[in-house]
Amino acid sequence: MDAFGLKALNIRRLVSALIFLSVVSLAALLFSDDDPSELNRIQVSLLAINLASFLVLLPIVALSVKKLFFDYKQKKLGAKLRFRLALAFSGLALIPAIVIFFFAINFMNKGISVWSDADVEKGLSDALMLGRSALDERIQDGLFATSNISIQLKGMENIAQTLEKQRKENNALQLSLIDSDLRLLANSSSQLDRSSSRIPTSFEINQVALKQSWTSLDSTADDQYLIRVLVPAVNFSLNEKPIYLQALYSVDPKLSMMAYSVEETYARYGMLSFMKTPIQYSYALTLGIVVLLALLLAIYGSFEFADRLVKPIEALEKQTDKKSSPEKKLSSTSDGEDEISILVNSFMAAQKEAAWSDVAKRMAHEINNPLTPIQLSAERIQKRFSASAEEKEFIDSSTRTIINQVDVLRDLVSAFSNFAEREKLNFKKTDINNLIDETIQLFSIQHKNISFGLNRGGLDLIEVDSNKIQQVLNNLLLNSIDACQDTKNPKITIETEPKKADSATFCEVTLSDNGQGFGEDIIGNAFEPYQTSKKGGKGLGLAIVKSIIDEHKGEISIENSNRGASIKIILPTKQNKSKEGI
Amino acid sequence: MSKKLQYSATIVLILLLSGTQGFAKGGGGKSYVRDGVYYSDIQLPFRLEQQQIEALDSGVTLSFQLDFSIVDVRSWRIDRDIGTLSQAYSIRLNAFTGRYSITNLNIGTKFALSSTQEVESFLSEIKNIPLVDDSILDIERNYSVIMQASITAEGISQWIKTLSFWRQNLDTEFETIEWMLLD
Repeated sequence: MDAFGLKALNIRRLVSALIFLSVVSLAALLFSDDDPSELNRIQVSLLAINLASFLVLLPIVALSVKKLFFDYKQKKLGAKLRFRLALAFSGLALIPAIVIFFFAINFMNKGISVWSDADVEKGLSDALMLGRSALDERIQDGLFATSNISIQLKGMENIAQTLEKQRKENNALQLSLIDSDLRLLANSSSQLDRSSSRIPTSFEINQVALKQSWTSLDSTADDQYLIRVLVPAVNFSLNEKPIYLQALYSVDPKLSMMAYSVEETYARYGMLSFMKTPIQYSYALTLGIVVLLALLLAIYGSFEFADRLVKPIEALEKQTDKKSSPEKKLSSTSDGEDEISILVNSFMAAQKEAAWSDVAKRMAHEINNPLTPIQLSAERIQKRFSASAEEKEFIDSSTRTIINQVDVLRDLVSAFSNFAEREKLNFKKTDINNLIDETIQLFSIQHKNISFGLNRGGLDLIEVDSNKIQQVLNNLLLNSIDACQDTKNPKITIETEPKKADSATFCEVTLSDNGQGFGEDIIGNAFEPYQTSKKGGKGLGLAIVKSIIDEHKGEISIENSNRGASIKIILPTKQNKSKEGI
Repeated sequence: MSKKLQYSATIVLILLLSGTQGFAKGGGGKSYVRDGVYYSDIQLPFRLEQQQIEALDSGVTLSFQLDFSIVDVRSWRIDRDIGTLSQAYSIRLNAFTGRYSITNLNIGTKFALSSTQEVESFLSEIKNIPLVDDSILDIERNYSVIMQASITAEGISQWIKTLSFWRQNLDTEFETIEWMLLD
């Protein structure tokens, strides 16, 4: 599989690196902090890694799918099986992944919804109200005490001592007098955190001017609560400017601590509720990307797996010498026939051929052995027994018959041997038109009554073993000549034509005659050994022709035309070097 | 990926990212010297968006940050930075007190306000921010103060803000304002 011009090995390395990266990032995501905000912080980078892996993998898988579809449409051998396997494996991964994704999303949403459970929210609100009501009483006490103190403040004389006394009597942490310009006039305080002891803001002073009092519950830096009360010192005036009294009261540390805890939990709960939907989206997106990535990897893996499964089958088909048959490229296989069926047929055909070859070898050997002594014995009888003329004639006649029949048997043995033995082909670039022309010339001299013709197609040189193709032409022409014996105006025509299928080029040779044609009983298995309609024929001619054409990765077919027979041969113009000598 | 698809993806990403951020125009500032230190008073159109109020009421803490930059304004040359300063406040609702708590993160003081209007009013006018000691400045030169203010939702990552695309203006960026340090 080549994608983006990368070699399959590089793509495999890239995919392996992506798988490793994704697994590491997912593991990091899995073992990251449970805090959603912490998770989100690292989630982006981890998701980015997975997203990048996804985006790299997507075109690789898309190109693989495209190639697979293309091969499938072109009905290339192996594509159908590969397509089916990839579809099956992808489907096996896809269906559970989708089911798990929707279940996981559903459970996750339910889990997140528990956060915003109405009972939890009400419980927290009640806890807050309880705490507030406990403190409201303390605030009102503080306001009452501060108002009382403010009434008693009438001038700057001994103000420090007065404030100190009132602070202690009322258990205040601090009492301060402030004018409307926010200047501190007097102050009395216990040991306090510096941040808690502050001058009121002009806003707070304005509020006091409007409402006659200002109370607030302030939280300190050490997570404690303070009650702040600000009232006007109504009986106190300085340069006719209004004066304000600020008092700070402590809250019981235990109550403070519990209040802080409840408030923190409530705030955290509120924040999670506020982020609930985007957190759901975030988890769903993460899960989606992970599932998509896993799916893409599964689909890619299924292609690879299917590829590995199909490759040995393809190799087996090559061994049975069928894979590169032009028939598969020029004419499609039947719909119900997949690669396994083709393989079985190829294998059966190869076995059958091998069996015939073996039988032929044995027969040739077994028949050849007794032939020599039979022939020699007949010759010796012919020489020794020469008594009367009548006997001599009888003996001569008998021995001649024996010797002739031995010759016939020798021819048969020779034909067997030719069929059984497969020589290594010697491919050379040949002008097939010239080869046919030379063959026709030879035959036309011997058979002047027959009209031979050649229709030359525009062919380039093709790679063939010219001796073997010559043998094919001889056999076919002999058959046609025999078939035309009883024909008036016999005519044998050979036509050549270039053909193309995909990127491969082929040469089509069609031999037609106006002879008797093939008998209906043998046309179906004419290429099998010992099938003949000729008197005295051995039935090996077409079997040898078929064997030679197969060795050329070609195809041969026969049919009867309106008048006579037609034999079509398709030969590839180039021979794959790796397939030579198979 | 085709160029058209790449452009579309970029635009969608920008829209998603920008969707969480609002923009506020206006505001001004002035500076004055007191006891050898330059102080500034700032006026800002501080308004909390509805989503920000909802976030506050839900328990989210908002961060309000003022970034000051004091620049030596030079003719025919690039201005020179004298120094930078940040003033940060956190705003959150204390569910227990029911008040919005504003903490000056620079000095730790806390203010408790009863409504978001009070918060807006409080942070619309910020006074007495110490900027720079006059001893490091040259009285003959021109200095300007550039201030950039922003509100951001704390504890919510940009990722979650992006996924909260239906919520507008969770963060606010204020228009940069500039005034002369010495008038």
